[in-house]
Amino acid sequence: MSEPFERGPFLLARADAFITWAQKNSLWPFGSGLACCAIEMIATAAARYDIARFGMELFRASPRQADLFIVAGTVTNKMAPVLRRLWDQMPDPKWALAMGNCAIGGGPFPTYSVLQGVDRIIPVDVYVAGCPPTPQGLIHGLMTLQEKIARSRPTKEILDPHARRQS
Amino acid sequence: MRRLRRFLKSFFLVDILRGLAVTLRLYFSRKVTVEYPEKVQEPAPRFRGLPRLYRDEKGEPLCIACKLCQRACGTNCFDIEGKRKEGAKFMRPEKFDWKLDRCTFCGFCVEVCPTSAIRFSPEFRLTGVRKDGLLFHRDQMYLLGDDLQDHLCGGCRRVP
Repeated sequence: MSEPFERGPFLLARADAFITWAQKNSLWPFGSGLACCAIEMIATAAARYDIARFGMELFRASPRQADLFIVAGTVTNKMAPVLRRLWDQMPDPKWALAMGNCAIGGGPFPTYSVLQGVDRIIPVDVYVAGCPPTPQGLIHGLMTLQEKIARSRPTKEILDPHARRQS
Repeated sequence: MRRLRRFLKSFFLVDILRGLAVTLRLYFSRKVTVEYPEKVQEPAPRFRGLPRLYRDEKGEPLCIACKLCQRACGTNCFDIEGKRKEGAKFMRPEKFDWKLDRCTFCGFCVEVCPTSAIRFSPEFRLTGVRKDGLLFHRDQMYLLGDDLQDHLCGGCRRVP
């Protein structure tokens, strides 16, 4: 809850600071492990790196219970509509993290069967590059996402439904 | 008798206590968690971090634009054009584009480089909020540390 005065009227800024503080410290990921990046994602959740320290330990199996969509691995064209449906099933507020070079831009597969970047089907907030990213790299990405959430203005979205989420 | 034993076992919560004993034992054992932002686990000496271009001791770039890395790269990450200035001994890259989002960190470019210009750095923090930070031009291939982070995230850290 930092710098509430710089972000508009006092009450709204306070509310923003509180809401983003709550949101960023209880991100429940929906881990869609599609390839080898999933192993690093699982390692991040395990005892050695332990994203439970950030309030993210609850990897949900259902998209309806998750806030954060971690796309870990190669997205094939056949899998793309499924991912899009899972993303649509997630309730707002929601964030997406593309993990690994395959999810970011197709990686080493510029072929007919692989989707060239998951941002073609869902709006990605944070790209974590690497092949695969190390667990510490993924934690760095999650912290970047936390910073991004801390900068957002949720009350603005409520008051003005057309306002987009600010980066 | 068996039924009595089973009843007593469930009545006195033997299995739960046994499980809690394991928890208690591990509570006092050595901790394995690396608390990342405060304590960074040092990468191994052969860790394949982000490939970077390096300079020699005098600050001269080592790359001679021989394009061997471009030939060796399995995923066409590189786009290099070299030029030799008048009187210069070696060619130097005029253009050195490198796409991070295609790289598989296989190390062929590092292995094949005759002047050891391109090497793996220990950098593992490769997070961007914009995709254009994942394309590196010639001068950006020398960035390390905070400058590299600024390039990767498109300068987002400087915005309050």
